[in-house]
Amino acid sequence: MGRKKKISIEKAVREEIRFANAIRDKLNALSNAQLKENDFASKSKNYFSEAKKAPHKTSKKSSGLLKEELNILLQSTGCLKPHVIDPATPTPTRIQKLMTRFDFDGMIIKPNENDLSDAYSSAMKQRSDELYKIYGLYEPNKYWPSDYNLDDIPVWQDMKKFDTISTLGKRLRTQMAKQDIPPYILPEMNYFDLMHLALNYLRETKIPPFESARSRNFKMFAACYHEEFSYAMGLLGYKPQYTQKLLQKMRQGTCDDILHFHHNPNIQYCTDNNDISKTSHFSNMVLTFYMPYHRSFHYPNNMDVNKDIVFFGGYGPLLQIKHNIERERQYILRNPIAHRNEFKLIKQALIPDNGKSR
Amino acid sequence: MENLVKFINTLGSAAHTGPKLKNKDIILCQKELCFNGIAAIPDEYLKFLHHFNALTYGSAAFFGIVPQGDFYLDILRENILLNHPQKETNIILGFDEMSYIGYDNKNSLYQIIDKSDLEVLHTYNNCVDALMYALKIYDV
Repeated sequence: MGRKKKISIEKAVREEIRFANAIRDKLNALSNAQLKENDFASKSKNYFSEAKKAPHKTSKKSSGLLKEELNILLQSTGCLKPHVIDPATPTPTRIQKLMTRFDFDGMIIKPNENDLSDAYSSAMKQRSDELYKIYGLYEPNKYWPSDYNLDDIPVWQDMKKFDTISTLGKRLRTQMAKQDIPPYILPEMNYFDLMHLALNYLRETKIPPFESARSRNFKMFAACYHEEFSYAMGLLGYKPQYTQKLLQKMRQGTCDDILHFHHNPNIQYCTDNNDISKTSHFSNMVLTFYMPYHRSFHYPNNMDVNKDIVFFGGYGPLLQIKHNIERERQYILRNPIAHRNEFKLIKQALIPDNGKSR
Repeated sequence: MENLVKFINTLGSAAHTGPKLKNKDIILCQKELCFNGIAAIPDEYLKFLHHFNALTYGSAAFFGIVPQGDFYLDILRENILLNHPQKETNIILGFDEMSYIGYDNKNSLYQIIDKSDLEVLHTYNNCVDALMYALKIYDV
Protein backbone atom coordinates (compact mmCIF):
# COMPACT_ATOMS: atom_id res chain seq x y z
CA MET A 1 0.00 0.00 0.00
CA GLY A 2 1.41 3.44 -0.91
CA ARG A 3 2.57 5.61 1.94
CA LYS A 4 0.14 8.41 1.04
CA LYS A 5 -2.83 6.05 1.02
CA LYS A 6 -1.76 4.54 4.37
CA ILE A 7 -1.54 8.00 5.94
CA SER A 8 -4.97 8.99 4.64
CA ILE A 9 -6.48 5.78 6.04
CA GLU A 10 -4.89 6.39 9.42
CA LYS A 11 -6.15 9.97 9.33
CA ALA A 12 -9.67 8.79 8.45
CA VAL A 13 -9.66 6.31 11.34
CA ARG A 14 -8.46 8.96 13.78
CA GLU A 15 -11.22 11.28 12.61
CA GLU A 16 -13.74 8.49 13.00
CA ILE A 17 -12.67 7.82 16.58
CA ARG A 18 -12.80 11.55 17.33
CA PHE A 19 -16.30 11.78 15.82
CA ALA A 20 -17.56 8.75 17.75
CA ASN A 21 -16.17 10.22 20.97
CA ALA A 22 -17.92 13.50 20.19
CA ILE A 23 -21.23 11.66 19.86
CA ARG A 24 -20.68 9.86 23.14
CA ASP A 25 -19.65 13.10 24.80
CA LYS A 26 -22.79 14.84 23.55
CA LEU A 27 -24.99 12.04 24.87
CA ASN A 28 -23.22 12.30 28.21
CA ALA A 29 -23.65 16.07 28.28
CA LEU A 30 -27.29 15.70 27.34
CA SER A 31 -27.99 13.41 30.28
CA ASN A 32 -26.12 15.66 32.71
CA ALA A 33 -27.83 18.79 31.35
CA GLN A 34 -31.21 17.32 32.23
CA LEU A 35 -30.24 16.36 35.79
CA LYS A 36 -31.58 18.53 38.57
CA GLU A 37 -28.79 20.17 40.55
CA ASN A 38 -28.30 19.04 44.13
CA ASP A 39 -25.53 18.52 46.63
CA PHE A 40 -26.13 14.84 47.44
CA ALA A 41 -23.03 13.53 45.72
CA SER A 42 -20.67 16.24 46.87
CA LYS A 43 -20.93 15.00 50.44
CA SER A 44 -18.93 11.87 49.76
CA LYS A 45 -16.40 10.61 47.28
CA ASN A 46 -17.73 7.79 45.19
CA TYR A 47 -18.15 6.75 41.58
CA PHE A 48 -21.34 8.71 41.42
CA SER A 49 -19.80 12.04 42.31
CA GLU A 50 -16.81 11.38 40.05
CA ALA A 51 -19.12 11.20 37.03
CA LYS A 52 -20.57 14.58 37.83
CA LYS A 53 -17.12 16.13 38.12
CA ALA A 54 -16.04 14.87 34.68
CA PRO A 55 -15.56 17.86 32.38
CA HIS A 56 -18.23 18.37 29.77
CA LYS A 57 -17.57 21.18 27.37
CA THR A 58 -21.20 21.40 26.44
CA SER A 59 -22.74 20.72 29.84
CA LYS A 60 -24.06 24.24 30.19
CA LYS A 61 -26.06 24.15 26.94
CA SER A 62 -29.74 23.48 27.02
CA SER A 63 -30.84 19.94 26.32
CA GLY A 64 -32.81 21.15 23.28
CA LEU A 65 -29.69 22.64 21.74
CA LEU A 66 -27.67 19.52 22.52
CA LYS A 67 -30.26 17.31 20.81
CA GLU A 68 -30.18 19.56 17.78
CA GLU A 69 -26.38 19.38 17.64
CA LEU A 70 -26.53 15.60 17.88
CA ASN A 71 -29.04 15.41 15.03
CA ILE A 72 -26.94 17.67 12.83
CA LEU A 73 -23.81 15.65 13.53
CA LEU A 74 -25.52 12.36 12.77
CA GLN A 75 -27.14 13.58 9.56
CA SER A 76 -23.87 15.12 8.39
CA THR A 77 -22.43 11.60 8.08
CA GLY A 78 -24.54 11.04 4.97
CA CYS A 79 -25.39 7.46 5.97
CA LEU A 80 -28.17 8.25 8.44
CA LYS A 81 -31.46 10.02 7.95
CA PRO A 82 -34.36 10.60 10.33
CA HIS A 83 -36.97 7.90 10.19
CA VAL A 84 -40.31 9.11 8.86
CA ILE A 85 -43.33 7.18 10.04
CA ASP A 86 -45.56 6.14 7.17
CA PRO A 87 -49.16 6.54 8.36
CA ALA A 88 -50.23 3.86 5.89
CA THR A 89 -47.98 1.27 7.56
CA PRO A 90 -50.03 -0.89 9.92
CA THR A 91 -48.75 -1.23 13.47
CA PRO A 92 -48.04 -4.80 14.51
CA THR A 93 -50.10 -6.20 17.37
CA ARG A 94 -48.57 -7.04 20.73
CA ILE A 95 -48.61 -10.75 19.86
CA GLN A 96 -46.96 -10.10 16.47
CA LYS A 97 -44.24 -8.13 18.26
CA LEU A 98 -43.68 -11.06 20.64
CA MET A 99 -43.52 -13.43 17.65
CA THR A 100 -40.90 -11.25 15.98
CA ARG A 101 -38.78 -11.38 19.11
CA PHE A 102 -39.23 -15.14 19.41
CA ASP A 103 -38.10 -15.56 15.80
CA PHE A 104 -35.11 -13.26 16.27
CA ASP A 105 -33.70 -14.51 19.56
CA GLY A 106 -35.30 -17.92 20.01
CA MET A 107 -36.33 -17.17 23.61
CA ILE A 108 -39.63 -18.71 24.71
CA ILE A 109 -41.48 -16.15 26.79
CA LYS A 110 -42.66 -17.61 30.10
CA PRO A 111 -46.43 -17.08 30.28
CA ASN A 112 -48.18 -15.93 33.43
CA GLU A 113 -51.19 -17.90 34.60
CA ASN A 114 -53.62 -15.20 33.52
CA ASP A 115 -52.10 -15.12 29.99
CA LEU A 116 -53.33 -18.64 29.26
CA SER A 117 -56.68 -19.16 27.59
CA ASP A 118 -59.56 -20.45 29.73
CA ALA A 119 -59.86 -23.54 27.53
CA TYR A 120 -56.20 -24.48 27.95
CA SER A 121 -56.16 -23.74 31.67
CA SER A 122 -59.28 -25.89 32.17
CA ALA A 123 -57.79 -28.72 30.14
CA MET A 124 -54.65 -28.72 32.27
CA LYS A 125 -56.58 -28.52 35.52
CA GLN A 126 -58.84 -31.36 34.44
CA ARG A 127 -55.84 -33.55 33.59
CA SER A 128 -54.19 -32.97 36.91
CA ASP A 129 -57.46 -33.75 38.71
CA GLU A 130 -57.81 -37.02 36.78
CA LEU A 131 -54.25 -38.06 37.56
CA TYR A 132 -54.82 -37.27 41.20
CA LYS A 133 -57.87 -39.47 41.23
CA ILE A 134 -55.95 -42.36 39.74
CA TYR A 135 -53.43 -42.17 42.63
CA GLY A 136 -50.32 -42.39 40.55
CA LEU A 137 -51.37 -45.11 38.13
CA TYR A 138 -50.12 -44.44 34.65
CA GLU A 139 -52.84 -43.18 32.35
CA PRO A 140 -52.21 -43.77 28.67
CA ASN A 141 -52.40 -40.73 26.43
CA LYS A 142 -55.84 -40.17 25.00
CA TYR A 143 -54.57 -38.42 21.89
CA TRP A 144 -51.90 -38.81 19.22
CA PRO A 145 -49.90 -35.92 17.75
CA SER A 146 -51.65 -36.58 14.43
CA ASP A 147 -54.97 -35.73 16.09
CA TYR A 148 -54.00 -32.06 16.14
CA ASN A 149 -54.22 -29.62 13.25
CA LEU A 150 -52.35 -26.48 14.24
CA ASP A 151 -54.13 -24.53 11.52
CA ASP A 152 -57.16 -24.66 13.82
CA ILE A 153 -55.32 -22.27 16.13
CA PRO A 154 -55.90 -18.72 14.82
CA VAL A 155 -52.53 -17.33 15.99
CA TRP A 156 -50.66 -20.15 14.23
CA GLN A 157 -51.49 -18.56 10.84
CA ASP A 158 -49.02 -15.77 11.62
CA MET A 159 -46.57 -17.97 13.50
CA LYS A 160 -46.03 -20.48 10.72
CA LYS A 161 -44.90 -17.75 8.32
CA PHE A 162 -41.61 -17.57 10.24
CA ASP A 163 -38.93 -20.02 9.04
CA THR A 164 -37.94 -20.59 12.64
CA ILE A 165 -41.26 -20.86 14.44
CA SER A 166 -42.82 -23.10 11.78
CA THR A 167 -40.31 -25.83 12.73
CA LEU A 168 -41.99 -26.09 16.13
CA GLY A 169 -45.14 -27.63 14.70
CA LYS A 170 -44.26 -31.28 15.32
CA ARG A 171 -43.00 -30.61 18.83
CA LEU A 172 -46.10 -28.66 19.76
CA ARG A 173 -48.34 -31.51 18.60
CA THR A 174 -46.22 -34.03 20.51
CA GLN A 175 -46.48 -31.97 23.67
CA MET A 176 -50.21 -31.46 23.23
CA ALA A 177 -50.67 -35.23 23.05
CA LYS A 178 -48.45 -35.70 26.09
CA GLN A 179 -50.50 -33.19 28.05
CA ASP A 180 -53.81 -34.71 26.84
CA ILE A 181 -54.98 -31.44 25.36
CA PRO A 182 -58.37 -32.12 23.71
CA PRO A 183 -58.13 -31.27 19.98
CA TYR A 184 -61.48 -29.49 20.09
CA ILE A 185 -60.06 -26.63 22.19
CA LEU A 186 -57.51 -25.66 19.52
CA PRO A 187 -59.65 -22.85 18.04
CA GLU A 188 -59.72 -21.25 21.50
CA MET A 189 -56.01 -21.48 22.18
CA ASN A 190 -53.81 -18.43 22.18
CA TYR A 191 -50.12 -17.57 21.70
CA PHE A 192 -49.26 -18.04 25.37
CA ASP A 193 -50.77 -21.53 25.43
CA LEU A 194 -48.35 -22.47 22.65
CA MET A 195 -45.47 -20.87 24.54
CA HIS A 196 -46.46 -22.88 27.61
CA LEU A 197 -46.37 -26.08 25.56
CA ALA A 198 -43.04 -25.13 23.98
CA LEU A 199 -41.56 -24.39 27.41
CA ASN A 200 -42.78 -27.72 28.80
CA TYR A 201 -41.26 -29.52 25.81
CA LEU A 202 -37.96 -27.72 26.38
CA ARG A 203 -37.92 -28.56 30.09
CA GLU A 204 -38.58 -32.24 29.44
CA THR A 205 -36.27 -32.75 26.48
CA LYS A 206 -33.66 -29.99 27.01
CA ILE A 207 -33.87 -29.35 23.26
CA PRO A 208 -33.91 -25.60 22.37
CA PRO A 209 -36.92 -24.55 20.24
CA PHE A 210 -34.95 -23.73 17.06
CA GLU A 211 -31.91 -21.92 15.76
CA SER A 212 -32.80 -18.23 16.09
CA ALA A 213 -32.68 -15.71 13.25
CA ARG A 214 -29.91 -13.92 15.13
CA SER A 215 -27.78 -17.04 15.17
CA ARG A 216 -28.36 -17.69 11.47
CA ASN A 217 -27.58 -14.09 10.61
CA PHE A 218 -24.30 -14.16 12.55
CA LYS A 219 -23.28 -17.28 10.65
CA MET A 220 -24.20 -15.69 7.34
CA PHE A 221 -22.29 -12.52 8.15
CA ALA A 222 -19.17 -14.47 9.13
CA ALA A 223 -19.38 -16.56 5.97
CA CYS A 224 -19.95 -13.65 3.59
CA TYR A 225 -17.92 -10.81 5.10
CA HIS A 226 -15.11 -12.24 7.24
CA GLU A 227 -12.39 -10.58 5.17
CA GLU A 228 -13.88 -7.10 5.12
CA PHE A 229 -14.78 -7.43 8.81
CA SER A 230 -11.23 -8.42 9.75
CA TYR A 231 -9.91 -5.44 7.80
CA ALA A 232 -12.29 -2.97 9.46
CA MET A 233 -11.55 -4.33 12.93
CA GLY A 234 -7.82 -4.07 12.24
CA LEU A 235 -8.25 -0.42 11.28
CA LEU A 236 -10.11 0.18 14.54
CA GLY A 237 -7.19 -1.23 16.47
CA TYR A 238 -8.60 -4.61 17.51
CA LYS A 239 -6.02 -7.39 17.69
CA PRO A 240 -6.30 -10.01 14.92
CA GLN A 241 -6.61 -12.77 17.52
CA TYR A 242 -9.64 -11.06 19.05
CA THR A 243 -11.24 -10.53 15.63
CA GLN A 244 -10.70 -14.20 14.79
CA LYS A 245 -12.22 -15.16 18.13
CA LEU A 246 -15.27 -13.00 17.30
CA LEU A 247 -15.58 -14.58 13.85
CA GLN A 248 -15.29 -18.03 15.37
CA LYS A 249 -18.16 -17.19 17.75
CA MET A 250 -20.21 -15.83 14.84
CA ARG A 251 -19.68 -19.09 12.94
CA GLN A 252 -21.32 -20.76 15.95
CA GLY A 253 -24.16 -18.23 15.93
CA THR A 254 -23.13 -16.01 18.82
CA CYS A 255 -21.05 -12.91 19.43
CA ASP A 256 -19.55 -10.75 22.17
CA ASP A 257 -21.56 -8.01 23.80
CA ILE A 258 -19.87 -5.21 21.85
CA LEU A 259 -21.72 -6.01 18.62
CA HIS A 260 -25.46 -5.88 18.09
CA PHE A 261 -27.77 -6.41 15.18
CA HIS A 262 -29.80 -3.36 14.33
CA HIS A 263 -33.06 -3.88 12.43
CA ASN A 264 -33.15 -1.59 9.43
CA PRO A 265 -35.29 0.26 8.51
CA ASN A 266 -35.90 1.45 12.01
CA ILE A 267 -39.54 0.49 12.13
CA GLN A 268 -38.34 -2.86 13.53
CA TYR A 269 -41.22 -4.65 11.98
CA CYS A 270 -41.10 -5.28 8.31
CA THR A 271 -44.43 -4.42 6.87
CA ASP A 272 -43.69 -5.44 3.30
CA ASN A 273 -47.18 -6.65 2.47
CA ASN A 274 -47.69 -6.71 6.22
CA ASP A 275 -45.41 -9.75 6.40
CA ILE A 276 -43.75 -9.57 9.78
CA SER A 277 -41.90 -12.81 9.12
CA LYS A 278 -39.37 -10.87 7.02
CA THR A 279 -38.42 -8.60 9.93
CA SER A 280 -35.22 -10.46 10.78
CA HIS A 281 -34.16 -11.45 7.28
CA PHE A 282 -30.47 -10.82 6.72
CA SER A 283 -31.21 -8.05 4.21
CA ASN A 284 -32.83 -6.06 7.05
CA MET A 285 -29.88 -6.44 9.43
CA VAL A 286 -27.02 -4.07 10.17
CA LEU A 287 -24.27 -5.36 12.47
CA THR A 288 -22.78 -2.57 14.54
CA PHE A 289 -21.11 -1.66 17.82
CA TYR A 290 -23.58 -0.79 20.48
CA MET A 291 -21.77 2.31 21.67
CA PRO A 292 -22.10 4.83 20.29
CA TYR A 293 -23.45 3.67 16.93
CA HIS A 294 -26.49 1.54 17.70
CA ARG A 295 -27.34 3.98 20.44
CA SER A 296 -27.27 6.89 18.03
CA PHE A 297 -29.65 5.08 15.64
CA HIS A 298 -32.35 5.29 18.32
CA TYR A 299 -31.55 8.44 20.25
CA PRO A 300 -32.33 11.31 20.28
CA ASN A 301 -34.40 10.36 17.21
CA ASN A 302 -34.98 7.16 15.33
CA MET A 303 -32.65 7.11 12.33
CA ASP A 304 -32.62 4.96 9.21
CA VAL A 305 -29.26 3.58 8.11
CA ASN A 306 -28.51 3.44 4.37
CA LYS A 307 -30.03 0.21 3.13
CA ASP A 308 -26.85 -0.97 1.41
CA ILE A 309 -24.83 -1.16 4.66
CA VAL A 310 -24.46 -4.55 6.37
CA PHE A 311 -21.71 -3.65 8.87
CA PHE A 312 -21.61 -0.22 10.47
CA GLY A 313 -18.16 -0.01 12.02
CA GLY A 314 -18.12 3.76 11.92
CA TYR A 315 -19.83 6.84 10.58
CA GLY A 316 -17.33 7.06 7.71
CA PRO A 317 -17.46 4.75 4.66
CA LEU A 318 -14.01 3.31 5.35
CA LEU A 319 -15.38 1.34 8.31
CA GLN A 320 -18.64 0.31 6.69
CA ILE A 321 -19.25 -2.87 4.71
CA LYS A 322 -21.82 -2.80 1.95
CA HIS A 323 -24.10 -5.71 1.06
CA ASN A 324 -22.69 -7.97 -1.62
CA ILE A 325 -25.97 -9.25 -3.02
CA GLU A 326 -24.44 -11.99 -5.15
CA ARG A 327 -22.34 -13.36 -2.31
CA GLU A 328 -25.38 -13.42 -0.02
CA ARG A 329 -27.47 -15.03 -2.72
CA GLN A 330 -24.91 -17.80 -3.16
CA TYR A 331 -24.81 -18.37 0.61
CA ILE A 332 -28.60 -18.66 0.80
CA LEU A 333 -28.65 -21.08 -2.15
CA ARG A 334 -26.12 -23.24 -0.27
CA ASN A 335 -28.19 -23.00 2.95
CA PRO A 336 -31.79 -23.31 1.81
CA ILE A 337 -33.10 -24.81 5.04
CA ALA A 338 -31.69 -22.21 7.40
CA HIS A 339 -32.95 -19.36 5.20
CA ARG A 340 -36.06 -20.99 3.81
CA ASN A 341 -38.10 -17.88 3.06
CA GLU A 342 -35.16 -15.99 1.58
CA PHE A 343 -34.38 -19.06 -0.55
CA LYS A 344 -37.99 -19.08 -1.84
CA LEU A 345 -37.74 -15.40 -2.76
CA ILE A 346 -34.54 -16.03 -4.71
CA LYS A 347 -36.08 -18.99 -6.52
CA GLN A 348 -39.15 -16.92 -7.39
CA ALA A 349 -36.96 -14.19 -8.81
CA LEU A 350 -35.20 -16.77 -10.99
CA ILE A 351 -38.45 -17.85 -12.65
CA PRO A 352 -39.13 -15.70 -15.74
CA ASP A 353 -42.62 -14.76 -16.92
CA ASN A 354 -43.01 -17.93 -19.00
CA GLY A 355 -42.87 -19.97 -15.76
CA LYS A 356 -39.71 -21.92 -16.61
CA SER A 357 -36.70 -21.80 -14.23
CA ARG A 358 -33.56 -20.18 -15.57
CA MET B 1 -31.40 -14.90 42.61
CA GLU B 2 -28.52 -16.90 44.10
CA ASN B 3 -28.65 -19.45 41.26
CA LEU B 4 -28.68 -16.68 38.68
CA VAL B 5 -25.71 -14.98 40.33
CA LYS B 6 -23.82 -18.29 40.36
CA PHE B 7 -24.60 -18.81 36.68
CA ILE B 8 -23.47 -15.30 35.73
CA ASN B 9 -20.23 -15.84 37.61
CA THR B 10 -19.52 -18.85 35.38
CA LEU B 11 -19.72 -16.72 32.22
CA GLY B 12 -16.21 -15.38 32.66
CA SER B 13 -15.06 -12.94 29.97
CA ALA B 14 -18.31 -13.30 28.03
CA ALA B 15 -20.02 -10.99 30.53
CA HIS B 16 -18.84 -7.59 31.73
CA THR B 17 -19.66 -5.68 34.85
CA GLY B 18 -18.56 -2.44 36.55
CA PRO B 19 -16.74 -1.74 39.80
CA LYS B 20 -18.32 -3.10 42.98
CA LEU B 21 -20.81 -0.81 44.69
CA LYS B 22 -20.99 0.30 48.27
CA ASN B 23 -24.26 0.76 50.12
CA LYS B 24 -23.82 4.53 50.18
CA ASP B 25 -23.53 4.59 46.35
CA ILE B 26 -26.90 2.89 46.10
CA ILE B 27 -28.50 5.16 48.69
CA LEU B 28 -27.22 8.26 46.90
CA CYS B 29 -28.49 6.91 43.58
CA GLN B 30 -31.95 6.30 45.02
CA LYS B 31 -31.97 9.87 46.36
CA GLU B 32 -30.95 11.25 42.99
CA LEU B 33 -33.61 9.20 41.21
CA CYS B 34 -36.29 10.49 43.56
CA PHE B 35 -35.03 14.07 43.26
CA ASN B 36 -35.24 13.81 39.47
CA GLY B 37 -38.77 12.44 39.58
CA ILE B 38 -37.85 8.89 38.58
CA ALA B 39 -39.21 5.77 40.28
CA ALA B 40 -36.99 4.01 42.81
CA ILE B 41 -34.97 0.90 42.05
CA PRO B 42 -36.98 -2.15 43.19
CA ASP B 43 -35.66 -4.31 46.05
CA GLU B 44 -34.97 -7.43 43.97
CA TYR B 45 -32.93 -5.43 41.47
CA LEU B 46 -31.01 -3.87 44.33
CA LYS B 47 -29.95 -7.39 45.36
CA PHE B 48 -28.72 -7.87 41.81
CA LEU B 49 -26.82 -4.57 41.94
CA HIS B 50 -25.01 -5.67 45.07
CA HIS B 51 -23.54 -8.51 43.01
CA PHE B 52 -23.17 -6.78 39.65
CA ASN B 53 -22.83 -3.07 39.06
CA ALA B 54 -24.33 -3.20 35.57
CA LEU B 55 -23.99 -6.25 33.37
CA THR B 56 -23.58 -6.84 29.66
CA TYR B 57 -23.88 -10.30 28.15
CA GLY B 58 -24.71 -11.01 24.50
CA SER B 59 -27.24 -8.46 23.40
CA ALA B 60 -28.47 -7.75 26.95
CA ALA B 61 -27.35 -4.88 29.13
CA PHE B 62 -28.47 -4.05 32.67
CA PHE B 63 -27.90 -0.71 34.31
CA GLY B 64 -25.80 0.01 37.36
CA ILE B 65 -24.36 3.11 39.00
CA VAL B 66 -21.88 4.91 36.77
CA PRO B 67 -20.16 1.65 35.78
CA GLN B 68 -18.11 3.26 33.01
CA GLY B 69 -17.61 6.74 34.43
CA ASP B 70 -20.22 8.42 32.23
CA PHE B 71 -23.86 8.08 31.27
CA TYR B 72 -23.53 4.68 29.62
CA LEU B 73 -25.38 2.05 31.66
CA ASP B 74 -25.79 4.47 34.56
CA ILE B 75 -29.34 3.88 35.77
CA LEU B 76 -30.02 7.54 36.60
CA ARG B 77 -28.64 9.05 33.40
CA GLU B 78 -30.04 6.37 31.14
CA ASN B 79 -33.52 6.97 32.58
CA ILE B 80 -33.06 10.72 32.15
CA LEU B 81 -32.20 10.19 28.48
CA LEU B 82 -35.01 7.70 27.87
CA ASN B 83 -37.51 10.02 29.59
CA HIS B 84 -40.27 7.46 30.02
CA PRO B 85 -43.66 9.24 30.04
CA GLN B 86 -44.52 7.54 33.36
CA LYS B 87 -41.10 7.82 34.91
CA GLU B 88 -42.58 8.68 38.35
CA THR B 89 -43.84 5.11 38.63
CA ASN B 90 -41.72 3.30 36.01
CA ILE B 91 -37.97 2.80 35.85
CA ILE B 92 -35.98 1.20 33.02
CA LEU B 93 -33.47 -1.37 34.28
CA GLY B 94 -31.87 -2.52 31.04
CA PHE B 95 -32.42 -3.55 27.44
CA ASP B 96 -31.72 -6.04 24.71
CA GLU B 97 -31.71 -5.47 20.94
CA MET B 98 -35.45 -4.86 20.63
CA SER B 99 -36.85 -4.23 24.11
CA TYR B 100 -36.35 -2.40 27.38
CA ILE B 101 -36.68 -4.20 30.71
CA GLY B 102 -38.54 -1.99 33.14
CA TYR B 103 -40.25 -2.02 36.50
CA ASP B 104 -43.71 -0.68 37.24
CA ASN B 105 -43.79 0.41 40.87
CA LYS B 106 -47.54 0.89 40.89
CA ASN B 107 -48.33 -2.71 39.97
CA SER B 108 -45.07 -4.26 41.23
CA LEU B 109 -44.37 -5.86 37.87
CA TYR B 110 -41.28 -6.23 35.73
CA GLN B 111 -42.01 -5.37 32.12
CA ILE B 112 -40.76 -6.18 28.63
CA ILE B 113 -41.25 -2.89 26.76
CA ASP B 114 -41.07 -2.31 23.01
CA LYS B 115 -38.25 0.17 22.29
CA SER B 116 -40.06 1.80 19.38
CA ASP B 117 -43.34 2.77 21.03
CA LEU B 118 -42.95 1.80 24.72
CA GLU B 119 -45.81 -0.69 24.54
CA VAL B 120 -45.68 -3.17 27.40
CA LEU B 121 -45.43 -6.57 25.71
CA HIS B 122 -45.22 -8.85 28.72
CA THR B 123 -44.88 -8.71 32.49
CA TYR B 124 -43.23 -10.80 35.17
CA ASN B 125 -43.85 -10.60 38.87
CA ASN B 126 -40.27 -11.40 39.77
CA CYS B 127 -36.93 -9.93 38.79
CA VAL B 128 -35.14 -13.18 38.04
CA ASP B 129 -37.57 -14.16 35.27
CA ALA B 130 -37.19 -10.74 33.62
CA LEU B 131 -33.39 -10.91 33.85
CA MET B 132 -33.32 -14.42 32.44
CA TYR B 133 -35.52 -13.40 29.53
CA ALA B 134 -33.21 -10.56 28.57
CA LEU B 135 -30.09 -12.68 29.09
CA LYS B 136 -31.68 -15.42 26.92
CA ILE B 137 -31.22 -18.16 29.48
CA TYR B 138 -33.72 -20.70 30.72
CA ASP B 139 -34.04 -22.20 34.19
CA VAL B 140 -30.84 -21.98 36.19
